[in-house]
Amino acid sequence: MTDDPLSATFAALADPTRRAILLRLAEGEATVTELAEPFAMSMPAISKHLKVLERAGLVSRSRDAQRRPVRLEAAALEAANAWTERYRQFWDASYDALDDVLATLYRDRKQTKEQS
Amino acid sequence: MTTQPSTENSTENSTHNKATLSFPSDTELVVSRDFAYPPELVWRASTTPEIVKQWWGIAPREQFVVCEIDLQVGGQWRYVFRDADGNEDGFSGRFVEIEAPHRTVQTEQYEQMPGTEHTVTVTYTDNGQGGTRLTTHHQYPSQEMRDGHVASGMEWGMNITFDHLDDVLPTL
Repeated sequence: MTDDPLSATFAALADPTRRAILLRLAEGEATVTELAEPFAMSMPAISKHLKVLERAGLVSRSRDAQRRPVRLEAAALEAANAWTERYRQFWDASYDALDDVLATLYRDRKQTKEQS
Repeated sequence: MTTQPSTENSTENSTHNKATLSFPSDTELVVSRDFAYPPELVWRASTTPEIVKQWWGIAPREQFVVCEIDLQVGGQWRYVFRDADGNEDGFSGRFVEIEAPHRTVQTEQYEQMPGTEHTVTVTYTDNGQGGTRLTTHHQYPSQEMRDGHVASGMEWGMNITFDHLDDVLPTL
C-alpha cells in the first residue's frame, strides 16, 4: 500500500474500466478471466488495471494457486466515499443557502412583475 | 414560458436537491447541482457580490468580509473570509471567458496556498422545465493539486463547521 492511500484510491477510481470492475466485484469475487469478459481488452491490459486497484487496496487477490480470485476490499472504498461525501456536503451547504436566496429573488421578481 | 418554478426536484422549502461529485480523470473535479429556477436568476445570484455574500461558503455570513466581482474578461474576482481571530481564507482569480447567462471560465486560487491556481468552468444549463443545472468543472494541472483541493476544501469546511459548533454548543 502507498503512503497516500486516498490519492491512490482516487487515481484508481478515475477510470471507467476500473469502476466497472469494482461494480462487478461488489456482486462477489471473480477470476481475472471472468473480469476481462465484458471488455474488449487483452488480459495484460486487465491485469494492469487490477494492479492499480490492488496497489490502492481496493481489491485483493487470494493465494489460491489455481484460481486466484479477485475480491473487493470494501473498507478502502468506504473511506474514499466518506471523504468525497464530506466534500460534497461542503457544497451542499452552500447550494442549499443559494436555493433559499433564489426562492426570495424569484418571489421578489414575480411581485415586481405583477405590480407593473 | 412557465410562470411557476420547476417543482420536479423540490418540495416547497422542506427538501433540497443534492450536489453530485464526479472525477472524470485524475486531474478533474466536477460538482453539479439542480435548481428549480431559470439560468438568468442563478447567474445573477452567482455574479452579483451583494447576493453571493448571502450564500457562498459555509462560514458564518459576518466572516465574509470581501466579495468583489469584476465581471468582464480579464476582470478579477475575490472572496475573503476572516474569523474572530483574524485568520483569513481568500479565493480569487480572473475571468477568461464570459457568456452571460450560461457560462464563465475563470482562474481560481486559494490565496493562503501559493501554487494552487487552476481553471474553473461554471455552466448554467437550462433544463427545459424552468430550472437550471449548475455545474462547476475544475481542471487542475496535476492529480496532487486536485486531491489537495478536495482535502483542503473538506478541512476548511470541517474547521469552520467545528468552530461554529464550538460557538453553538454552550448555548444549547
